Parts: sequence; structure tokens; C-alpha cells
Amino acid sequence: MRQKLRAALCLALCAILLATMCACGGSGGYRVVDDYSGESSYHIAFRKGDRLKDYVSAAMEVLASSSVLRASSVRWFGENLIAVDADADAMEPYWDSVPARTVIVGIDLNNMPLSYLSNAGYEGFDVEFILQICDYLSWDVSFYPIAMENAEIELNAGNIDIAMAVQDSAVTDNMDISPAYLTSRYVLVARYGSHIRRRSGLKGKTLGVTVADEKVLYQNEKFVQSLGSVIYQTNTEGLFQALMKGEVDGVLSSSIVAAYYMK
Amino acid sequence: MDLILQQMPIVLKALNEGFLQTLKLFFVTGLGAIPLGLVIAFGSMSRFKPLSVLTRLVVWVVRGTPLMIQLLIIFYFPGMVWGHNIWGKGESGRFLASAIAFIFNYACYFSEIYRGGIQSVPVGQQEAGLVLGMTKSQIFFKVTLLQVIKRIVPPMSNEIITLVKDTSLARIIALQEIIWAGQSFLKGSHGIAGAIWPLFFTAVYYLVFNGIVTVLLGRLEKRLDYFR
Repeated sequence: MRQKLRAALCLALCAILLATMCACGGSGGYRVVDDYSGESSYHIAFRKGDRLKDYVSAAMEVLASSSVLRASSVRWFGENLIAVDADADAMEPYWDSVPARTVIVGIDLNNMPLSYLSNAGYEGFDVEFILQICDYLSWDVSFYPIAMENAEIELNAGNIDIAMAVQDSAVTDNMDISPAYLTSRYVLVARYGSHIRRRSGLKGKTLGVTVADEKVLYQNEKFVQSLGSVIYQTNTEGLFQALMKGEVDGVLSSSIVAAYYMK
Repeated sequence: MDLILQQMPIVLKALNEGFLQTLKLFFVTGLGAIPLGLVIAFGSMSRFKPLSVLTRLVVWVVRGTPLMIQLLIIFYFPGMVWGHNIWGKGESGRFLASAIAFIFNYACYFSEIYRGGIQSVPVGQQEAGLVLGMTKSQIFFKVTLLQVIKRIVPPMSNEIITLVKDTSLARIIALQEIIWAGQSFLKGSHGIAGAIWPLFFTAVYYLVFNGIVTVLLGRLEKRLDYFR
């Protein structure tokens, strides 16, 4: 009898411990509830016909075969999200023709966690990523903040040599792009401790979304109508803060951003 | 409130840097546009018909199209059409293109003010000067110009105050002026996200600077109050 009681007590304690761990969340207190839209890839864009594309793409493949990019991804997102195919010999045909140069990299400073401005200067995964590539190619880098919708014009006007984080939807015939280095999809995220475990759990609840992602949200009008309300935020930082404070029950976010906050 | 006080030094530093760019653009435009406007005014009043027609056509185009379009065309056209970026890369290239666009645009507006001022001086005064044996340049500098300056100060003040605010248009070609700096705190700059209060401070910078410009131009107007 005593032994049974002890075993039951042990079980109960284990259950409480497990529940507490789940509520605290080993993933930063957030959980992906459901996928919301298809995949979109991030590319590096170049001027049409610029050989820079060959060098950078090959360098990406070489670095993908080592642990450099992987370590960077794990540091920013908590997991390896690098989508580049590894090829340790990819640079072999190009080494003789790679010139020493300074490349001007256009970045969007409103693209946390890929690129943003901190007290220390330009930061983000993209900043680290391109610095690693240019370091491998022995190139100097100069960053310049641009509006992402002007990436094509900035490239073709010769103001920048490289535009980071160009998504599939922004790729045009007037630019060359590297293979995708990150892939992302839109996901619905809820607090880890909440009872929302699937999309239907958000019925009648409040969903947070950034102003920039409003179009994505309305791709599924039926889902929007099932929600209680939608609250807009100007940035992802505010979005996840609102989720943490309980101002919203769930948020719509890109999986890359979600991975950064869930890290 | 504590959070705002904590963020204040970071915001003020960024706004100061942005405002320095705004001031640079303002003064460079002023220095370039004020004399260039006079040249354009003479061109449009020239008796050599082709020159005056051409000058008036240019003024009409520049005044009739938005400054924002002029900025975009001046900055992007050489690189996209000639395949050669004449402005140079980085912040200095964008500043140079902005300065050229602003100088040319404001010179055209100033030229119309100058023209109005010059033509408002009665022809009889020039004739009187000629009768007194003065040369044309003497008549211009000693009779006409003094009256022109007095008359153009109020409309010029108006344009100069507009120029202070118009400098913000340079952000269309990614020149990082003060509004760019203020708005970036809405989107996570320097670890500060969703903060709208830096925009109010941005407005205060403009308000204070415009206040100083207004007072200075008001004093100038009073000093020129000699022909009553």
C-alpha cells in the first residue's frame, strides 16, 4: 500500500514537472500551431550578367560544406535553416578570375532578424552571412540601407552590387539571383502554455500580424472571418511582445522570424 | 516613462546624425540655389529670344513636376540608362544627387521670385538713371537691386521655410536624413521597436529650426525697411 502511494506520488510529481517544463517552453515560450502559406525562398540578387553572382553562389556552396554557415544559422535561429547545396569544390573554376574588390551590399534595415541596425552597427543573420562569404573571397564589404522594393533599381543603377534577402515574389527578369540560402513559410504561432494547439483553436481569438503581412493573412479570408479580431503591429518585435504579454492569442509570422523568437 | 528616458540618448544620437544630414542639404541647397536662381532669372528676362524661351521652358518643367520625381530621375537615370553611376556609391553619392536636384529645383522657384522683384521696379527709375548718365550695371546694382532685395525677402522666406521641410524628400533615394532616423525606431532600429515618440521629437527639430530661420529672416526684413 505504502509502495503504491509512493509510486503514485512519484508519478504525480513527474507529471507536474513535465507540465511546468512544457509551460515554460524549451522553445522560448512559443509554439508553431499550423502552416499558413506555401514556401518562399530568400536569394541574393545581382545586376543582370554580373559575374559576382558566380563567385558568391560558388562561395555559398563551399561554405555550406563546412560548419560556418550552419553554426551561424543555429546561433540566430536555433536550428540549421541553410538551404544551400554543399559543394566543397564549387570555387575551383573561379579562383583564377576572382578580383580583389569592395562590394556594396544593400540591406533592408527593417528586416529583423535578417538585417537591422543596433548600437553596434548593422546586425542580423544576413549581415553575418554575407560577411562570411566576402571574407572567404577576400573582399571588403560596405553596407548600405535600401528600401527593398527598390532593390532592382539600386542594382541596375550601380548604387549597390548585391541586394540581400530578395524573396521569390520580388525577383524580376532584370536581376540575377543566387540559389536560395534560406526558405521560409508563413506560420501561425501561439504561446507555449496556451491551450491553442491547432488552427481551429484560434477561432474567435485575437490574432496579431504585422502591417507588412496583412496581404498574406487575407489570402485565407475564411480563416480571417473565423477570428475574433486582428491586431496590427508595425514590426515583428512588437508582434511577439504582444503575444508574450497575452495581448493577442496567436500571431502570423514568417517561419524564420518565428524560429528567431522561439530560439 | 522610464523606458523613454532610457531610450532617449540612443534616439537623440540617431536624430542628431539625421539632422546633420538635413542641415547639410539645406545649406548646400541655399548656397547653390540663391545665385543660380539669379542667373536663371536673367536668362528668362533675356532679350535673346531662344535663351529666354529655353529658360522659361526649363523653369516650367521643373516647377510643374514633383521634386520627388526629379530626385528619382537625377539619381537613377545615369546608372540605369548610361550604365555608369556618376554620383558615386554610398551616402556621399546620394547626397550629391540630392543636392543637385534641390539646387536646380529651388533655383527655378527663386528665379521666378527674382524676376517678379526685378520687374516690379518701375521702368521710369531705370530711365531716370540713364538720364543721369549711369551705366546699365550701375543702374542695376545701385537702383534696382536694393529695391529688389527688399521686395523679395518675404516670398524668399516662404520658400526657404518650405526648403527646410522639403529636405525630407531626399529619403526617397535612401538618404538617411532625420525622418529616416525617426521612423526607423518604429521598426526595430538600435533595439527600439514600435516607438512613435521619436517622430514627435523629429517634428520638434524641424519646428525649432524653422523658428530660428523665421526669426532671422524677420530681422533681415526689418533691416531692409529703409525704403518706406
